Amino acid sequence: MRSRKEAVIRSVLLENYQSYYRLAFSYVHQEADAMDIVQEGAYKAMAKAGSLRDESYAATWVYRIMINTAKDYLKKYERERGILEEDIAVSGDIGRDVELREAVEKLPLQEKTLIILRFYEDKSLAEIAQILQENLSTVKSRLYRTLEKLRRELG
Amino acid sequence: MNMIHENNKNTKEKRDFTELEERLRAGREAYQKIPVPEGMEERVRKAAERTGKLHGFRIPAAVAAAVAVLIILPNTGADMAYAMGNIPVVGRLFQAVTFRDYQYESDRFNADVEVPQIVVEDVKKPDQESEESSQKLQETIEQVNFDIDAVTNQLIEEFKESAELGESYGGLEIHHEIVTDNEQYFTLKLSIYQAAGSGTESYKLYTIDKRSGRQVHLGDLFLENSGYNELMSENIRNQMRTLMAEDEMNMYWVDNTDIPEWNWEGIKEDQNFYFDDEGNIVIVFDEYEVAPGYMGAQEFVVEREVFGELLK
Repeated sequence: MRSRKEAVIRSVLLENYQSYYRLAFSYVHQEADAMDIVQEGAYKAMAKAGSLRDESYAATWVYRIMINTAKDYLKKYERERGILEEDIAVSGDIGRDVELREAVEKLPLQEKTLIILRFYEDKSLAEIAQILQENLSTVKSRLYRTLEKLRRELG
Repeated sequence: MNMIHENNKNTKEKRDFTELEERLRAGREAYQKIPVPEGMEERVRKAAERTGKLHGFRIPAAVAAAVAVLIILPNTGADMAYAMGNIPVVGRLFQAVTFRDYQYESDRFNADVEVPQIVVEDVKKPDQESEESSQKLQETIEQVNFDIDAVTNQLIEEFKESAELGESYGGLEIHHEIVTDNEQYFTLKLSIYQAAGSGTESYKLYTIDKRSGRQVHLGDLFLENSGYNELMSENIRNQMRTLMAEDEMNMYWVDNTDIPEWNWEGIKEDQNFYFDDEGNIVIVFDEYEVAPGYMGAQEFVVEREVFGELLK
């Protein structure tokens, strides 16, 4: 049974590592650091395979591990760098809405994660609640407040 | 008259984020174009080759020990005297004692937390028949107390972190209340208020069936395929519709065509609830669960005649 869970987690990792990378990159803005985070998250997910209780939730479970790993990384290295010109150049096409992107970048970690999951990764509110292990109403209220905040920022 | 109209229009605009949401969605393309370095796949593959050690879910020994001590019930004379006057038929006394206190006060951060633990005392010696439920009860209480402890700990840690970071404002309040204590059920309500700027109120309710010794969720009360959730949900939706018709300022996320996703999906198996004195079910919603924040916390009473026949 354990090895089946590991097989499920392995395939989830290989299918979604790009998403995890982009999320990590949004936190640390450094290629090397983001890669470290994803790799460490993958190790953790495999090591904790036994504690995954329901295989149908494997994807959100792994996502959660990735988010926590990124947070721990930030804490350890105290690096939540602001976005720099060089970073923008590296990350390629910034799109036309610079103002919005900057406003999102300025959000505190939790709220930024919410925006990324909801609008950039197109996750449903229910999925987000599962990933963040919060109840749906908390997710709704936080999202609501974040939107209010963004709207105020953008004037 | 005109001022009231304008107020309502502003409030409606305030609640409508469609434009902003569209703008955010447009940013998805740029985000998805963030390049993923070549070596990433290989590194993930390597990490995925490893196998880890098995570990299951278990109450850590230290916690189990602490809880076991509490179940022996130390109490003041005053509490005992009051308690003795309320001996339930089953011969067990349920109480919630404050296990832990956490207070914090600074300019911008405030915490007022008391963490309860459920304690049960056998007032009479349990007879043979109830040995099994007695054992089950002990397990259930340990599990519930563990959960309360874990949840509150996490909230306290999060609060401490944000107080340390010093970001804006923060508040945390946790209190408890026994909302049901009759022959059959004991329900403890945990009220959690969290503020980071503005605040949110949420709840956790734990119901224990005194006879079986098990924790019960709403779904456990009803017969299979009874359709209780749709029945009760529609009952509540109708109450919401009435309230909205009565007062324009009342708003619930029901029948909303602007953002249909925010519409309340209906009662869940583990919905927070308790029984009132008349045997009606009270559904307890978190703030933002069924209505915008300004509506505050919401509770709805579903009369017994609505669901009575569907009970196990």
